[in-house]
Amino acid sequence: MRAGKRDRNPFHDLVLVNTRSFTSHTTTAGLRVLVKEVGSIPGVNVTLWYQVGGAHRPRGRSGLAHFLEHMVFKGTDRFAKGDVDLICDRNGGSNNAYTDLDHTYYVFNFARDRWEIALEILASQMSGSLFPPEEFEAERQVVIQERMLSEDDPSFLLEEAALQAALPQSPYSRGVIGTLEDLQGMSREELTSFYRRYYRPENALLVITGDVDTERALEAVERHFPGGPPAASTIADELPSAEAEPFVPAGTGGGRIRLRLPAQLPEVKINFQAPAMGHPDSYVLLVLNNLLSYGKSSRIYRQVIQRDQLATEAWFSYLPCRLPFLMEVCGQARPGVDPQQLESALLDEINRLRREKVEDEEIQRARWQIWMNMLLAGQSLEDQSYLLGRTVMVGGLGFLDHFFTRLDEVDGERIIETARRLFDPRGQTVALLEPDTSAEEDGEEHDG
Amino acid sequence: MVDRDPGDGTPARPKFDPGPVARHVLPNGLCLIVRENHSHPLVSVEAVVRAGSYLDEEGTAGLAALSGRLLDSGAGGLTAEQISWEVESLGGMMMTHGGYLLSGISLSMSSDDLETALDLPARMLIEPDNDPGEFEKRRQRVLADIVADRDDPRSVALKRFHELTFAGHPRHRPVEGYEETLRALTPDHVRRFYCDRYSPQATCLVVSGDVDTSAVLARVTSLFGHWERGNALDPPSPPDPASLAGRGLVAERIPMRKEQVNIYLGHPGIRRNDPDFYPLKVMDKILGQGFTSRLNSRLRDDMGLAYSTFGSITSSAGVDPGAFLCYIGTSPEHEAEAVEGILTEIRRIREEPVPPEEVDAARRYLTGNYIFSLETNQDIGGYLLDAELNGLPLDHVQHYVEKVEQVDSARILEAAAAHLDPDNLVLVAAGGDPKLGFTPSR
Repeated sequence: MRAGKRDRNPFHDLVLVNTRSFTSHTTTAGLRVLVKEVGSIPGVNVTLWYQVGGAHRPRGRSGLAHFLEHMVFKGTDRFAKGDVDLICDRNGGSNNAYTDLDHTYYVFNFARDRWEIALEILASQMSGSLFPPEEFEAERQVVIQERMLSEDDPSFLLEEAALQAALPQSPYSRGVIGTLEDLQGMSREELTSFYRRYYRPENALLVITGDVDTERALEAVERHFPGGPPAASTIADELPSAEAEPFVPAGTGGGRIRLRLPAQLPEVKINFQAPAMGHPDSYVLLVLNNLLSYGKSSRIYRQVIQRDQLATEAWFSYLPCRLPFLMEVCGQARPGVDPQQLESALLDEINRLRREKVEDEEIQRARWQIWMNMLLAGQSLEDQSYLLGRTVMVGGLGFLDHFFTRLDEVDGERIIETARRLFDPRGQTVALLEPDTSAEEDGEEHDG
Repeated sequence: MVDRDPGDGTPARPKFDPGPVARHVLPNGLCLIVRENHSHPLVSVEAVVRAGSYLDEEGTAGLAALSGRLLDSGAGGLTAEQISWEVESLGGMMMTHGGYLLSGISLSMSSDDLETALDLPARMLIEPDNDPGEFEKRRQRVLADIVADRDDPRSVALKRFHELTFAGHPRHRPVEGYEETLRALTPDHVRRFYCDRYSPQATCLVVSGDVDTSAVLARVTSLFGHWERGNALDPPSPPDPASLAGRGLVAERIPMRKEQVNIYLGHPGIRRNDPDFYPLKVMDKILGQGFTSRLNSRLRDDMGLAYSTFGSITSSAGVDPGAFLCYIGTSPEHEAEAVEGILTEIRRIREEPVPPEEVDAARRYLTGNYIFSLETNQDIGGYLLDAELNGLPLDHVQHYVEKVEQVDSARILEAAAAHLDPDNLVLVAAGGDPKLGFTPSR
């Protein structure tokens, strides 16, 4: 059997085709459009991205972007509440919508003979949403239920507390769904003005992937999204340059926080400040994602889960965003394991990166995995739209051109230098979930 | 109703063709299915054995699942670490699993690495090590997962739902077993389970991707052909669960300190090859699947009771009957309203004919949308495996559109009346007000 090595990259050409073979166009109204012809199934995915998410929160109004995402389905000048879903059903289509820290995006799938219906709906949602007052109140309750559902997961509350302690000043510090207080206080007027400000062609990116003809698709987009040129573009085109300053975390982290909640097992979450997508350091961190926690041969799995048996699950995660954010190393302790011991074991893995140079072979493995994942995503129209849309929204159009080159440049020296700078213990935040098995009220302590 | 439908009024009926599919049974009984797809240089392999938890004894609950999970813990001269290294060094992904009906291995790799993708499952199924050290580590992980699951109200409620609904039937047990049965297992149990249950005649291999069928057949024959049937038992069919008829509403609350109450209700369901499968599939869409379903539009959109609610009888239909299962997560003060709302919709769909335009919309959704769940090698591998296990033609998806289109209001009413029973069902609530009972009325 071979020893898990190969000489050539079997993914290279195909991933490049997958990530480059699209047409980019900006309509008269300033809407950027990417069209990618893929004939794998007789269907089309249409995804519309807006540059507005959890980070966009007028004072005291966290969760506005997510609430708005719910509300655009509650009636427009053309489609009454419920019509969009019914139209999708009647035409064999489907839809969903998501909000993350930077974006809100709407996803439609239709057969190829009627995919333009998605444009009709999206155009109406972009400019003609009505927000009927009674629907606003009813949907507020649904969003509050969604928040309650999340609160029942102790990990969600730990993450929220850790985020606020680590980055209190960041636009990201309130997450996506919003606090209960903000949700209860939100007014329809605030929602309407938020909508007018962000739901505009020049603040959006439309991605069409599937069995289409590019030229005709672009004509259809022009037809459905008419209008004159916008005042200014708000989507960033430029990558952070390769000569960007090294990312230096702010001197202090959020210290230590402890959260006592009804739960079975302790959890440990250690945050470090991380650079934005496209920053030269971010490529190192993408490699570390895989090296530390992809599969059973990854470092954290082998040491913390398999060898030392300290955690039910444990991982490192860096999700690149538009602005500097956090990366985290976390785990859930096994029954009977002291969470301090898990904390030390997780930090050992991080500190090993600052101490020992990683061998080329291990880096190459991580790279194969990143390539492979992009290939796997290439099998589904929706995943392809997502990959293209998210990278272009966050990193700009040129991002994918440089992505693989930058990834190839990551070596042992770079990793050790970056790890020393970014995993400085002074900048860390440690959040600990302590199971509260008594019947007392939930409480939070801060001893940072 | 929509005043102006943007479509041209005709239903979407995109065609899906799984392409050339070959099925071959080796002399030792192993079934191989190969589907060529040259659009990406990838291959996915599903290597499954009919050795799921339905075969466990009461006292060894969890044995099948643990044996399945242990498949990658050393085999054919390779250690656990070497196995994962072998796959992941090449960028591949592998998972070993043990479920209710099946246990096995799922692999995705570059098609350049087809040899590894077939060689590893062969070693793991034919020559598993059963190392006592690995056994203990994995057992401890399962035990820890069982404890961790107690924080998840949906998991807690669903496990109890199965206990009550399938009393006396293998489905009542959690697939992963109980703490006490797991503690009683030994490496010897696993060894015997492999001997008794892991055999070529219980195994099916589905290879989907950028491969050449004859090359795969040759390779599989050389890797698996020598696997002897030995004394292994043929996999039996799971028994029928007892009906709940005459038992009325069996309701139970599990106290949990949570903001929301999570409720499951339902009863035993249908087999995949039930002649009413398609009418019930359309019924599911109308009753409880998707944004336009009656449960969602009534309980979420109109009443604002929940972020999530659904119901279905066909999604768990398999070789043996799954469950008709409805779910809602709501705040404790709305619990009674929510339960009553679900029961009302169940009664309505089995007593009143569904208006033709509602049936039409559901049918149109199904005939237009199915292609999006058949995109990846894993999707199509899963479809082929499902067909093989349930005795359906491997190309049955090509008749899917016509089967859905044959369903009308009368067929739905008939099927709903025959298969849904709102007067005899199990209801489990995790969380909520412990002082409140359950008194849904007609």
